[in-house]
Amino acid sequence: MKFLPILPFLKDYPFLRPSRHILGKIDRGIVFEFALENAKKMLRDLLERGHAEIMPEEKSLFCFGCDKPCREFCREKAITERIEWDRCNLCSECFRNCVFSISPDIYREYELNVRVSALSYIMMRSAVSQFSDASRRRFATSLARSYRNAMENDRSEMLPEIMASNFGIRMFRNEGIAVHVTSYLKASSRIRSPEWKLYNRSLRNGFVELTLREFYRIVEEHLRDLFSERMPEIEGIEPLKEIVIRYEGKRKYERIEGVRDISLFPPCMKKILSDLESSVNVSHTARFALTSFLLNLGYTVDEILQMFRAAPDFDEEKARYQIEHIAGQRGAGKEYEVPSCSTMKTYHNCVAECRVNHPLEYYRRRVHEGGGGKAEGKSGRDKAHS
Amino acid sequence: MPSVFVDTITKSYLIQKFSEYYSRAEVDLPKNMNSREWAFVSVESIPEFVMKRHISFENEVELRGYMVKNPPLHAYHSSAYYEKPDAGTMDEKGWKGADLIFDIDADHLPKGGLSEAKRQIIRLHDLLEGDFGAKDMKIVFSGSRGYHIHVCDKEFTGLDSPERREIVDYLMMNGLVFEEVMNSGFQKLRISKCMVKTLEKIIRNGKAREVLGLRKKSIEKAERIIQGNRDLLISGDFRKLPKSVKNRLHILFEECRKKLMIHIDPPVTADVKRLIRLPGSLHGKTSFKAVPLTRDSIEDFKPLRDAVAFGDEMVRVRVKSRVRFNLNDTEYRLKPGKHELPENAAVFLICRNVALYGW
Repeated sequence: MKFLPILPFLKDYPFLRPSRHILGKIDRGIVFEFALENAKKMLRDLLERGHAEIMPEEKSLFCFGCDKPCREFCREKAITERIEWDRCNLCSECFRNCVFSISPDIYREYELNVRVSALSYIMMRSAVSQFSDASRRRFATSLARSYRNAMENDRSEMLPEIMASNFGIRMFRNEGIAVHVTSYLKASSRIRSPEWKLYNRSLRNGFVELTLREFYRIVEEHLRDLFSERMPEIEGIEPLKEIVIRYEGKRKYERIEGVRDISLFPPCMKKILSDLESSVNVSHTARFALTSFLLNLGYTVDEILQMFRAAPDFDEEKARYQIEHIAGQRGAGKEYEVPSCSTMKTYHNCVAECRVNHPLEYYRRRVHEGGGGKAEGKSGRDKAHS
Repeated sequence: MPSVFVDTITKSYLIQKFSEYYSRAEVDLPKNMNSREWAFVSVESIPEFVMKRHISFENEVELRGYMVKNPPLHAYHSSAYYEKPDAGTMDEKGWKGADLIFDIDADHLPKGGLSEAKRQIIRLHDLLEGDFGAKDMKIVFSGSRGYHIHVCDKEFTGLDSPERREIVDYLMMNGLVFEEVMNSGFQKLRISKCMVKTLEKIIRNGKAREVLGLRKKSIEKAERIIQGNRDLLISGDFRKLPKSVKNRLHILFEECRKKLMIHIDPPVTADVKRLIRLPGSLHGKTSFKAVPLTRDSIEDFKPLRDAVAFGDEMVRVRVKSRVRFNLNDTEYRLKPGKHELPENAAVFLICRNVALYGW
């Protein structure tokens, strides 16, 4: 029966690649209405509460009891006596040609469940795609986290392999799960907590040892990327769009462009500024960071130039060229982004522990909190003032 | 910055020498050379330092033809692979991936110069192999003051900048701080092992008081504990040591961290579209060859002997200022004025901008 073995997984995880084969054409009808109802509840939870309850069922892959005649359809030669997951990319040719069968009633129910689940998922993504980046980010982060929680509670045996194949994560099982360092870094470079720093891990022959929970944390990052992608519009999902509009209305619009208050700058930028003023030699990476930061707040090239004037090696022509380059007025015309906190740390330009991810995030918070609150760094380590 | 040769005879001599080199030399071609961007500073452009970029070649014959005809003072290729390597902007080029590059520069090391740079690059190579499982690696002497490693394994070419920076943090141990229990991760275990050995050495040499400010009683107690729990300590668990010693462990930690960290140049590794010197080409500031090395051959490699690209036919030069250097196992001390020198020393001095060709 077509797609039978993977159906239970698709019902719980409709973002898996094989779903698209089942979804088919989107028509108004009972499945549509049902999916819309599910999507409404879930989207509201995701945006308002940042979390949706997803309850996976325990499921097993029927393939273990089967001789797997489908192997001849596998383009990656991933099916032998067993399944070679590291070769599989879930292209679904094997599932499409599945000859295993169960009672037609149960099959139909499975299939229907998958269609509802996949449709709900597509509807939500389509709805948030029509709005701001912030809403889509909120949706993507919340849904990815909710799925991670679901996976953690899901004891289904082949779940890690299926996720790894779907997202191209290189892994193999030992006592825990060994993930290739490149797959690990793609996720860990965006996770701030120290235990994800590579030196806190056992790294041998290119593989990092992880627990199952940690493995799902990596999957979560892939999910977040996937859910952040825009999707074309589907007709008939107005109720979902209304949910997003309501959410956006509540969110205060936090603009910082044009707000210029050096006293609210993050410690790293203050430090670079004060170094420049006192003619200390400032590294290239630090100059770049400050320039991109100031440009983001709406400072002009000439204003920024003034700040570099006291630098010991100041050369007006060169400095102007570089500032204009960063502003995207030169070269390839690409405007550069402000380096994140982790980049600042790597280049030794970070001088305090502010508990933010990005210098602009610090500034935005300070501006909107009227200069106090959470984003204030621990002043003892704030070298800019000492 | 640009060396300034004003003298046209010197310039034509250099063009001739570099061109000769490229007609006979074996350059070490990067893999997928036709997906790389190439860039050159030609000898011809002296005294200006003009880089011609966005060049692409289909094969070695094309590349060699170009370099013999326009001998480069500096020759580079991109670490990145592109759809259209000769397109003028990054967007049009179409980034497909990039080798992972490491640069150790002798002048950025706290001490030790070129020979320390060599030790560091060997350690880096072994870490990349053992920890990261890198296999397709090239070690290259830069032709001047350092060494490079190019990791070309396919797994690593897709990494973006933030991910490459995590590798930098791993190698440089950025942000690693002392904890009483440091048993997760091999980098920490390496530090722990070094700390125990350093502590033992300090005690053995009777320096514990001087270096760590410990009293005799604490030292004796520490010694006993080390004897009974050496494996536990080496595995990164320092909790059993007496408090007075634990309070001082951060000193050993810092010392070991400094000793074990690898001093790579962070922006080079983080960059996904760097231009890097073509292995086998000449470095225009020294005339030395950027020598491709292996893990075996680097052990006996001596830059000032093995990277010398020119012969010892005698050449007349005018030395502009007093200069001392060692080349090809020969010590030179020259005063300003006319000298007859082996070709390799002559070209070296011209590239260093301290001599002109002819009398």
